[in-house]
Amino acid sequence: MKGQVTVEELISLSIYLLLLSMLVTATLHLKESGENWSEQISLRAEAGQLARTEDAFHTNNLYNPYNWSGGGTGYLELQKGELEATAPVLWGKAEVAKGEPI
Amino acid sequence: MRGYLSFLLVLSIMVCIFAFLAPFPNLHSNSDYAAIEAERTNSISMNVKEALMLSTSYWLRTSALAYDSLPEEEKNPVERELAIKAGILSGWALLSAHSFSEDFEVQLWCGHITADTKEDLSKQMIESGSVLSCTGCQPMYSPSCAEFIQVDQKELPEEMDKVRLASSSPLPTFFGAVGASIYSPKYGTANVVYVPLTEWIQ
Repeated sequence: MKGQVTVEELISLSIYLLLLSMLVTATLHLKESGENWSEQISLRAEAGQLARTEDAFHTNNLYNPYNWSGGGTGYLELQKGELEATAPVLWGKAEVAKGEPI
Repeated sequence: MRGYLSFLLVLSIMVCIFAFLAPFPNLHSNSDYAAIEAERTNSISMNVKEALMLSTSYWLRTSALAYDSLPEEEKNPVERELAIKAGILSGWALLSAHSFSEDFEVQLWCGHITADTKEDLSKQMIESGSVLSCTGCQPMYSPSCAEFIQVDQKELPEEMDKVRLASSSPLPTFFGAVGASIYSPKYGTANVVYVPLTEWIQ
């Protein structure tokens, strides 16, 4: 009876340790993927914000101190390492389809 | 033992969640509020221009009315024009002392500028970090700004006096205008506005 309890506890402990190691691995993996995802959406958000800033300064006919380079006609492109993000620059012209929410 | 391991298990889950969410504060970039600041700068610029035109309109009517109340034998058109210009200049002197917003520095001026002045002067203000007047321009309360007030006096009692804030320039590509430099040390934005040269103010 005493031996059976010890075996059960050992099995339980090994399962806990297995779970724990899985969680540590998952933590490290999630940390890495979270950072990558954050970098991607940060760059995308920055491109969108720069585009809206460019639009705001253009629409209000103001000198824009926020410089960016990259992209082409109607869009801007940001690069950070291997990552790329683009966003449309409307230059004050927004064409919205009828019935489409703004 | 199990309680201790359960605690570790919960702690690990929390660490997982925080590990994934920790990079998210990086989402805010420097240009987050720049679009709103641009709107605010434009709003103040329009306020300054409107105040300038309203002041000109008010002092045009007030000084003309004051001159017209003089006895008939003392009046002549040249003096009347001088009285109107003096009235408008005194209004501009009051306006120059006005604080439009605590976040913005405003300098009112008159002078000869080019089509590039708006962008060049805005850039200079942002680089120097202070409000600047255009090169060769005078403060708006200066008597030499009277040159930039073109008065069209009424010929009939039912007509209205009107003024245009413009002046011809001896230099090519330059034109005389009355306007303002606007700079915000808080937002790091700048703008230059002037009253449209062809607009008659009544």
